[in-house]
Amino acid sequence: MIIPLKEKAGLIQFYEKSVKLLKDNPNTPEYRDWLKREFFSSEKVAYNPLKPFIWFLAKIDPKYRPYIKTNFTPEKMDEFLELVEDFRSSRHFRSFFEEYNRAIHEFNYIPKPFDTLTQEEIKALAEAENTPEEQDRAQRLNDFIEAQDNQPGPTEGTSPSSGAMSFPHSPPAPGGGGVNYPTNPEPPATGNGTAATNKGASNLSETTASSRTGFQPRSYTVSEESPLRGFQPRNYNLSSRAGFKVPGVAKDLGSNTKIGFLKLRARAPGFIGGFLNNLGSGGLGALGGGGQIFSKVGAGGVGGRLGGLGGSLTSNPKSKLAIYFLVGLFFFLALFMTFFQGGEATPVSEEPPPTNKDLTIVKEAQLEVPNPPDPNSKISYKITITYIGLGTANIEITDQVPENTTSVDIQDGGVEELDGTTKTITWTLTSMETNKPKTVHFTVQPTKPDIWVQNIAKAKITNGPSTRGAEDLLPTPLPPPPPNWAGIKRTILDAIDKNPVSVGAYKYASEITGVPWELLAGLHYVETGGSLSSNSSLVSGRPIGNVEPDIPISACARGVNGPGIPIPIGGGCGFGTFQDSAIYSANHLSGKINHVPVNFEDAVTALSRYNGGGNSNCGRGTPYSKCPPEFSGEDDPYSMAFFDDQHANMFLIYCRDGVKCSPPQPFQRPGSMAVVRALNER
Amino acid sequence: MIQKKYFFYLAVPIFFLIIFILLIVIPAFIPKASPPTASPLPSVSKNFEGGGNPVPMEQIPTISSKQGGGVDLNSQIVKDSATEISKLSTSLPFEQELVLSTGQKVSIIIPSSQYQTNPWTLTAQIFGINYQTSSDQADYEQAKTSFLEASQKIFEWIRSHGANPDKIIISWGDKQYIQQNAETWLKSK
Repeated sequence: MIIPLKEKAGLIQFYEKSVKLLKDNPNTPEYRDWLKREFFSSEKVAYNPLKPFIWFLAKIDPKYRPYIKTNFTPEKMDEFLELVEDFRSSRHFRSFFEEYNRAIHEFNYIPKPFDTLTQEEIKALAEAENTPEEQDRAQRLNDFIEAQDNQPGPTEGTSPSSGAMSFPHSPPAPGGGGVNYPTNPEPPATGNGTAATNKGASNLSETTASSRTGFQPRSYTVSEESPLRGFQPRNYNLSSRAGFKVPGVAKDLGSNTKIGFLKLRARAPGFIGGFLNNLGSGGLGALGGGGQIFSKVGAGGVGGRLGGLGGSLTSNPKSKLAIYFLVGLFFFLALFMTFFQGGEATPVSEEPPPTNKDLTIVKEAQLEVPNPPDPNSKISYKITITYIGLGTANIEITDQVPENTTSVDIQDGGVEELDGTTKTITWTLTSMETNKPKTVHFTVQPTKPDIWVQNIAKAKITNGPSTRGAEDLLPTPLPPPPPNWAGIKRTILDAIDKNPVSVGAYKYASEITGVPWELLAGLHYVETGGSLSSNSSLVSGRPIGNVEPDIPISACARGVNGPGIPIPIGGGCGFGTFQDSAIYSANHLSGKINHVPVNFEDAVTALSRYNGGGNSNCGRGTPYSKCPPEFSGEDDPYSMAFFDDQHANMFLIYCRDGVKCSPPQPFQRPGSMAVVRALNER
Repeated sequence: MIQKKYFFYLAVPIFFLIIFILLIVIPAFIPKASPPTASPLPSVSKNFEGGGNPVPMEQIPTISSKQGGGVDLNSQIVKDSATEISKLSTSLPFEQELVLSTGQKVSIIIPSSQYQTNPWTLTAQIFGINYQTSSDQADYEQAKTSFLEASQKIFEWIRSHGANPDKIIISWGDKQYIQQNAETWLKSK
């Protein structure tokens, strides 16, 4: 399925709104007002950003395709909301952002950021796309992309060549990975200069670029990017879709690609297709397309023979009956084993496994350059790295200077190191934000004529635990909010917005510890009773620099300091800075469950334990009704008060540490998870 | 003749299939032995003898605030604690859920080294106990007994890894009242 250029461009322009559309709480009047104003008002008729949004949904999940042609008039706002809600709760939710990132890559050649494009420029791009040549190119590329999607994905940790392209009539590529040229000794007259190979490693991405000397210089650049993901076949189909950037070489690429595509796609259905065709047609299938074609690649022949056997069997009516009987018996057997033998059906996980491999890397270079000593024989590489995970990441890119070349220009802070005879260039990119690509460049000079120069860039995340976002910590779908949620949320967000310094410290602590910063905000909100200040600790809300009674004297020593380490203060321990209290708290929060909270249950349990757990409401003679708790901490007001309508009536058992309330007092402040929810719905 | 052959080819697998199904059906209707009535979680006895007596916070040598304050890292107690904890570090984390004789379900977590505050203090947490209780409250004895039983499990685990719990400085939680009640209960056994 091709997303028209215009719609991609439109989505990029309206990305922020689309994010808000997907992430804010749709059950609030504010959301509906905003939606009406931004998307359904009569002034927005000229260019409705809903259309590109829906194109993207349809690209991610075909079930949304029928909506492409839907004209979402103001009367259909509720229908649209249902669609959004459905997508929010689907396992493809995250893919939206990946698809967006892919679209960004496709537009890299445009000389200005997309969010600065005017409507006229977008229109011009769209018109350019409508030429027959471009449409033909797009169709052929799309065919290829879908063929890649249809290939079975490799399992985790092994992806020898699945992420790469196959060009059957191209020369062998030197070295492993990257473009695979299996048969033809001659290089394509024009072809791809760049390809990305996914190595399947936990957080390492590679991309390869090949260039050749000895030809007339051309400036063609082709780029295939294959985002680095944890490989699960289901997930792979989405994330391996190559995004092409083909300013000039498209036609030549297309002809090669098409052949490769046909051959690749033929394999998978060959055996099964041949067998089924033949079985179904009583032997005629032995001459059918599937078996005949695939016998050439070695698999269809077997399919055809089996199909022929099946066909001869089915030609006898009695045998046919017997086969039906046998098939029925097998079904019966399977059902019986499932229901009566205690055999539980294995649940099929719908969610892709959590990953921290959220990198895409694209490398580009000229395809051909003249032979040295021509001064134009330099090969300039451009590496584009994009972090598509949550939070921020420090990323290290390394690139070994290819054989038979010497580096002549290293830009963007790259550092060249000599290890034996190999030279490696390293770039360190810190605090990369999601979906904000960065590029680095370097240039090499070939030292020999008529050579292929292959070059591999690698990238990895270096900042330890990947930072998760608040959305991972909330249940899906979100339960209805408590009464007056709009007011509660406003109070929470106002308090946080007034303390940008605190937010900066939460985020800093989050980068170091991996604990989502929203959770630290929630924790701090509870400890300070909503009076957030960067002068009050996350441990107890006491002023920074004061003794923290909850930190034992064994926790600090003279001369022992560092991020998150308490220091001796007076007769006890405390913190020198607000940041240290945030880091200390984040580590201790994780220590309550021995890992960084990664989901709703983790977060709630850890927060309750952080607060001592003594105020859990169930079995304590309170009117709180949602008992027993679904999991540890779910009945603790410090974690859950005002998170949703079922936690709007919680009670304090101990009015102070060790001092019991008699009777239990209504807990009137939002708990930490309500803060997380408010931040996520912003 | 050919038809008979076909029937023979079909009859044989069908016969075996029926036998196979019967083999599966019959056991399904045989009543299984009733499951054990005991809790699936392990339980511990009420005998606290042989438990541990970790170093109470009040006995930890400190240096005066004029000299910088905090723990005296040169003291033998702190050094011994660090030595004993180092024997455990490769075995961390320790996580266990227990149902105690009091009926209380608790979770023990001694987190891995990255979540420990420092090398000479072992954070060992027992969740599920009301540490905020006091001696005038009805659940005090239950909380105390529960803690002592669960802490015994921790001491056993420490010993099983070649370390001496009596030489270790243990932080029982992140609240002052948790540490105070824990140490009070340990003294009273």
